[in-house]
Amino acid sequence: MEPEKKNGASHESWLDFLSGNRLAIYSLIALAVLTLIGAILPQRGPGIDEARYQELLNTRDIWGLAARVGLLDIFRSAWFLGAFTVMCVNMIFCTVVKFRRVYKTRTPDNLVPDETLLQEMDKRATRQAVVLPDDLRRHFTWQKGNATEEATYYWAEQGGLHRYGAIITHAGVLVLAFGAVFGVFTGFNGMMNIGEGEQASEVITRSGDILELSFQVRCDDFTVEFYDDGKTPKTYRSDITFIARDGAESPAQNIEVNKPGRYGGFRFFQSNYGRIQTVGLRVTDTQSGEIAMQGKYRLGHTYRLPNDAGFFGIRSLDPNKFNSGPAADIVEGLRGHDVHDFWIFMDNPAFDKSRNGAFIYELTDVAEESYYTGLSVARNPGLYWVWTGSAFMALGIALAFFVAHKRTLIRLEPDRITVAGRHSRGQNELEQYLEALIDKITDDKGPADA
Amino acid sequence: MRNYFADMISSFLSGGSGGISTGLFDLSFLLLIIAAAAYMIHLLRRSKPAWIVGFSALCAVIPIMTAALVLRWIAAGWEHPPWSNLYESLVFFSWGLIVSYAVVEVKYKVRAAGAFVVPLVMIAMGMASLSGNKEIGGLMPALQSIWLHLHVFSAAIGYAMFIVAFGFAVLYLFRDEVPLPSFLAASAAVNMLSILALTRGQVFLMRCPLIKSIFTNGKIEKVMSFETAKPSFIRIELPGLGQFLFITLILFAISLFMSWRAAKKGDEQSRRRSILFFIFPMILYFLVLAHMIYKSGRFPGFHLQTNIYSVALLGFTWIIGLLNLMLAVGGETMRETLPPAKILDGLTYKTIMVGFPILFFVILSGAIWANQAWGRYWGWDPKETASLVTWIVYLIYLHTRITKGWMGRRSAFIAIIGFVGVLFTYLGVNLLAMGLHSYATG
Repeated sequence: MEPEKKNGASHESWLDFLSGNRLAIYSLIALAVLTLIGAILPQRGPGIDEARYQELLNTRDIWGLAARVGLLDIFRSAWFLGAFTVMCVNMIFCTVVKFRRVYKTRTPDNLVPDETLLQEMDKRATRQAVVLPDDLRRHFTWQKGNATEEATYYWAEQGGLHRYGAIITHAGVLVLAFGAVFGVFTGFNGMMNIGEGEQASEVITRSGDILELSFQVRCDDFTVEFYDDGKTPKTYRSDITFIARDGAESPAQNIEVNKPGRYGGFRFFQSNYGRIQTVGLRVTDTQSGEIAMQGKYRLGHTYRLPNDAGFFGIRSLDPNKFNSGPAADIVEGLRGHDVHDFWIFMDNPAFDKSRNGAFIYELTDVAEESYYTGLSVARNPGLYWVWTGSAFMALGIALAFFVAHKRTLIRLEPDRITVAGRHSRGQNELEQYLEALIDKITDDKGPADA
Repeated sequence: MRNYFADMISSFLSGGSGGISTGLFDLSFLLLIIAAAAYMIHLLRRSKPAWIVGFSALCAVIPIMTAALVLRWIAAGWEHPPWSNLYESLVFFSWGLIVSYAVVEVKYKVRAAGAFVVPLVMIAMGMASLSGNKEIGGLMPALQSIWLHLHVFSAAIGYAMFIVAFGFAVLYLFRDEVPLPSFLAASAAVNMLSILALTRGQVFLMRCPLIKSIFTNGKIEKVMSFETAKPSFIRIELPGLGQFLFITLILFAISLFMSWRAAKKGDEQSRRRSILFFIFPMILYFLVLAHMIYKSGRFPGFHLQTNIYSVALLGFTWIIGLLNLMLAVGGETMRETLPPAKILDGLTYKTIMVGFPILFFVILSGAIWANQAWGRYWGWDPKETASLVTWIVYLIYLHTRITKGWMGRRSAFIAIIGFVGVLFTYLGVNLLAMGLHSYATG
């Protein structure tokens, strides 16, 4: 025996290390610390926008340093991924090793309870009693063992599945981890804003790139309802039709918060909404006196003036500027001039002439409001793996926590009974369990410890 | 104080939204003060009448709070349970903690942990009372999901189990003959940390900027017409607060040193001295707390809102300091009256065994819900991240215990770290960052 053990020692210790609990605990501590950093420090993405993050990378202060070593993007940093990989490797080995052990040490079908088995049990107690009470027979499936003149052995096992709990949980974490990583590489998440009655196919991804969908998304209708306070939205939803490249329209889908729609492998989520304000404008060329532009223009957009003369935009609206009725703040940038802004008044169309600019702006119409719907677009092929992994974890945790593995051995002798057992929840629980069992057996005979 | 009661009575009488339920919650708060005091006396003196008073008060609180929660639910037109803002969240989590604790106490017949749990509930309910917005609001669309119910309900129970586990863990350490001044040292350190967090590290500049949001009602809204509907924040300074906190911090540092030395020496005289040096900063800290509570809600048209977290942080660390002081003063005679260390250790383990799968479910239900609402199951939102940290801490607790056979002190320490994680997840994150969890803004 001795030399054999020595032979396999180096191999064993290597495997022990990789599957061992020490590695598990160290990697968990590392993950806890790194995740804590991620919870406290603002992170790239939600906490720090991309431009600021790039700026920080080149800053020579403590924040710059934090950004360069990855603390501000911790969940993509080598630190986190390294610790996570170590944990996964540990779990793979641990799961395999543990499964082999559990499978090997499962109770064999042909188990014959006897004195040796009694010695293996964690705790035993003996009381005066001569028969196995009936209700014990009912509650356990007893396996009868050797019956000699001195003693009869009974063996019962409950909750053997408990032993697979940890294995299933760990396997679940691995499946989930695979799904998460797979999803990061193959998945996609972006936003699109579509005005009511308009259609679009461009999606802006989280990183700011624009992705063109192979189909068009049309917002037929957008509705928002408010609570009595008039500010808190109660519900908002969009009627969305998807139009394939060949022009075929899908049946309209009603997309609501918490009720996503699906099309072409993508899921569409009602994410937000906003108002689009348009105003009627007439722009006249001062020199020629001709109308250069006329129509509806959106607030916040910039428009090109004809003949490459420059651009203009509408910055804001005021329903009653200087008590002179509706007015619009126009921003104008003419070629060779500084960008400047000025107000025009609907009730006083001639007012802008006094500015003596190259163009005369007239406000013909205000405040036609419509909504745009903000849809979040996602595709995540890793999702099924993630849910499968989660389901495994839930099952495994349920087995490990809610199923207790109890093994009970009873030795029945002519004048006394010995109860012994093992319990997955440890010595305290085992003692309580055996105590209760013995109470049941010796209910009316009273304890008489041997 | 007089004004507070007047407010309470008027809120009780006014039939406005949530009027009666608010009054009932305030009543529960008063009962909880009695219960907390009684449980602390019970721990100190082992007096059975004190326990009877405490337990009866606790039992009285349960139906009152349940009724008030149901009333609020009815007032919301059965549309959503009362879980829509910070006030309702605090009340519901307090309810969960009381019920869970009562079940654990009745089941395991260990009463001492009440001295830790009930004062914490009292602080939570006190925070709720101070909270600016007690209106029954509508649920924003993202919250209108069946997952809200599962997520919040399980979170309340899960957190409650961990807080009860914390109570058992501290009692275990006490029963396990940890030198008495160590409790003072630990508490002094925790209080110093909370001062640093409260002032965001600016205590060394003798400053304590309190961030508060503007409550959009009354005159202020008209003066400051904001373009966006987002809450706006301004920083204010209560005069003298920074200096006061600075002195408190120094005194806690001295106390930390004294109690650390006393724990090493182990003689009676140095123990007494360490207690004395701990009492000074505790009194100062209480004055800070009282000052902040007094000041909150006293600016016309404003309500201190984010500040509630600061008040809570102070309240929690102070009350834990007080309990540790009790342990240090109570001394050896109190130790022997507690249940055996082994039982306390086992109870810590048992409560964590209940809390852990629940916390897993909380995180999982949150992920399923987020996937449904936003199309991603995990976004490293500060709250998600913090809950993951807490879960990992308890994962470490279980792994060290099950596979390495750790028990006793080391396990108790991990349980206490886990409790800090729970507090951080529920409140601390809101002090430091804003996330998706809308009740963060009150």
